[in-house]
This record gives sequence, C-alpha cells and structure tokens, in this order.
Amino acid sequence: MKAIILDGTKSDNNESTKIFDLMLEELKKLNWEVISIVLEDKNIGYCTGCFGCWVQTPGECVIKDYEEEVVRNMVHSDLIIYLTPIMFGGYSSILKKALDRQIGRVLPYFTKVDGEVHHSKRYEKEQSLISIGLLGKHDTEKEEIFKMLVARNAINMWAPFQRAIISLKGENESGFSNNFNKALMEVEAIL
Amino acid sequence: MNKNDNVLLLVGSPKGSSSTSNSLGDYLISCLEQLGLTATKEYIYKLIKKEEGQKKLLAKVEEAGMIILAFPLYVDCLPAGVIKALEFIADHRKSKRDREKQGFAIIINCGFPETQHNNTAIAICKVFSREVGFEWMGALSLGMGGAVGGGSLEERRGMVRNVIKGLDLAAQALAEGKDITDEATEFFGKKFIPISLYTKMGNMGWNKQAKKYGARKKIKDQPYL
Repeated sequence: MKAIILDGTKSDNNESTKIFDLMLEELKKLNWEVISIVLEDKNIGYCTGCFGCWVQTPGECVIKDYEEEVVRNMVHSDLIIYLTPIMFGGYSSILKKALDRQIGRVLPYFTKVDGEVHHSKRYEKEQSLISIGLLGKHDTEKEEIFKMLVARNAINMWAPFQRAIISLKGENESGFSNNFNKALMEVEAIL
Repeated sequence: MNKNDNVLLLVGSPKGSSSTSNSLGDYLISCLEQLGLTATKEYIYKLIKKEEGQKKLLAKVEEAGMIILAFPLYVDCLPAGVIKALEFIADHRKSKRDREKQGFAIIINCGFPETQHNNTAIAICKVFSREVGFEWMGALSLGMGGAVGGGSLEERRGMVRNVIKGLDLAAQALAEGKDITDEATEFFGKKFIPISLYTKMGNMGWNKQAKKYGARKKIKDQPYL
C-alpha cells in the first residue's frame, strides 16, 4: 500500500508539523509505504493553461520541473493525502500549484458521472483521497466549503474514496489520530 | 474622481489577454466605463511572481472602489496564482484598521457545460470577501467557457447574446452600487448549445488539437506506467 503526502503548508507552521508527525505514525502502524513531498521546497511552476498535458505530450506537463515527480508518484499510489491550511475554505496556493499541474492524470475527453460532465480516466489504477485542512478556529462556512471541495476533487480525479478531515488549532491529538486512522481503514477496505 | 467610481479588473487566467476571463472582464468594464465609471485592468499572473508586482497589486487594490475578479475554474477551485493573490491581499489588509468598504464581484468560467462546477470557487471568493472586509456584490458564473475563447465578445454576438445580456445587466446594477441581480446571473449562465452537442464538439476539438501536435494517436498514453 503506497501513500503520497502533498504538504502544502508553510515551513513556519508548527501545527502542520505536529499533524504531519501524527499522520506518519498512523500510516506506519498500518504498514503504509509513504512518500512525502514538502511542496514549498520544490521548484514547481504555475500551470499556464496550455492543455499541453492533454494534446501535446499526453499525460505529461510540457513544463519540466519537480511536478513530474509529483504526478509520477501520484499515479503509482493507492492513496493521496493533502495537507493544507484552509484558505478561505479552500487549499493554500502552495498545494494548489501542484494540483493545477496534475490534470494530465485524466483524459481531455468528456464523460458523464451521475448525470454531470467530467473528464474520462487515463489510468485504470485509482487513488483514494484524504485531505487534511488546518484551521485556526471553528468556522462552519469554511469547513463546509473545504469538504465540498475535497468531494468535488474526488469526483473529477476518480478517487474511489474521499475524506476531508479538519484539524483545529490546539485540538486534542488523539481525536485527530482516531479520525485519520478510521479513514485509512476505510481506504484499506476497498483496496 | 470619487474612489467608488474607480473599478479594478483583475484577470486571473494565466493565459492573460488571450483568455476567456479577459474577454468577459473587458466587456463588463467597457459597459461600466460607458456608465461613467473609470476602470483599469491588471493581469494577476504578471504581478504575483515578483515583489514589485506584488506591491503593485496591493496598491491597485487599495486605490479601487470596486474590484472585479475574472478567472477560470482550475480543478474545482481558483487557479493557484489567483489564490496566491488573495493570500497577499488578505495578509496586507490584516494590518489595516480603518478599511473602507470596497465592492467585490467575480466572473468565473469553466470548461464544463454545467455552471454548478463553479459553486465551490464562488463560495471561496465569498469567504475571502468577508475576511478582508470587501462588500460582496455577486458572481457571474459561466459554463462552456471554452466555446467563448479569447477575443471580443461583440464579434460573436449571436452565440453569446445571453452572456452579453447578463453582463449588460450586471454592469447596470454595479454602476448603481447594487449587487449583481439574479436576472443578470441567469442570462449570463444560460447554455449556448445543448450539453450533448458541446461535449461531442469538445471531444472532436481535443482530437483536432492533438493532431496539430502530431499527438492524436498518443492522446490516451499512460506515460507514468
């Protein structure tokens, strides 16, 4: 079982370091092989919206930088984990920069999923998605938007399982670990 | 000149002047100018990468009475560069105590035929607006954005007549200091063509583009296996 953690937090965020360590501990307990990428440290350019990854070099972005490694590892994983501060209900720009560049994981062709148009699958192998959102204090609106965003990403990227976990600053560690562990067990159940 | 009459259009597509976002935004600000407001335009992706540009972005936002953000949907959300710009603005405004109420409205388009794909991004923009102390004036949400493309909207009047009508109505409301009306939103978001036709044409279009790059037979490649 392979998991990739895309860490979209800033290096000065102590809360994220704590959560990151808790995640690693749970993943190790369940024998996951983990690759973690601290996106802030990597040379990843912005998507230019050229669709080259669909029509020029299908499946690969035309910009050659660290994102190639990110997408390669995503494709070979069973589980993708996002770690991000919740920015206005969504992801940080650091995480989003990497996500904008991974649309080559699907095909350009349109298909319908539950009556709604999406893009077709490129790869047979599917990746579940767990997204951890860090929030300073409880905010129902932001939390709901974050959950909605993760659910929408899961539909568009063909994730067979998705879970958004919100971690509030100063929250009890065992609560987070239990939630994360439960989500991992659910991912394992469908592998 | 009253600060409230000063409109700033922020184009949030990395494609800049050749983007659908630019076409839609340009049309709206030209309407606002005809209604007596002044407007300036900046391309977010040109500004965010260097410190000088970031400072310019913040200064432009502070000068504006109303900010219109036009952007495409990327992976169910705002493009990374636009989020970066919003992060800069939010961070900058945190330190300002007496913030004047500035209007904030968005124009969003996606390549899917259904406008509901844009809903999460709209919700994010609303939270941003609340957080930085802007006055939320509404969202114009468009599907089938790929069919609009760059260039002038007037040139393709027939197909985009409802988009134009929606923008005209939105401009009227915004110029009067009012929120974008439901009627404007409905016209703007009307489908140009049936969904089945759009997806069929879209799929043919992808093949055509791939052929141009000699990649037609490779379009379903799985390079990382």
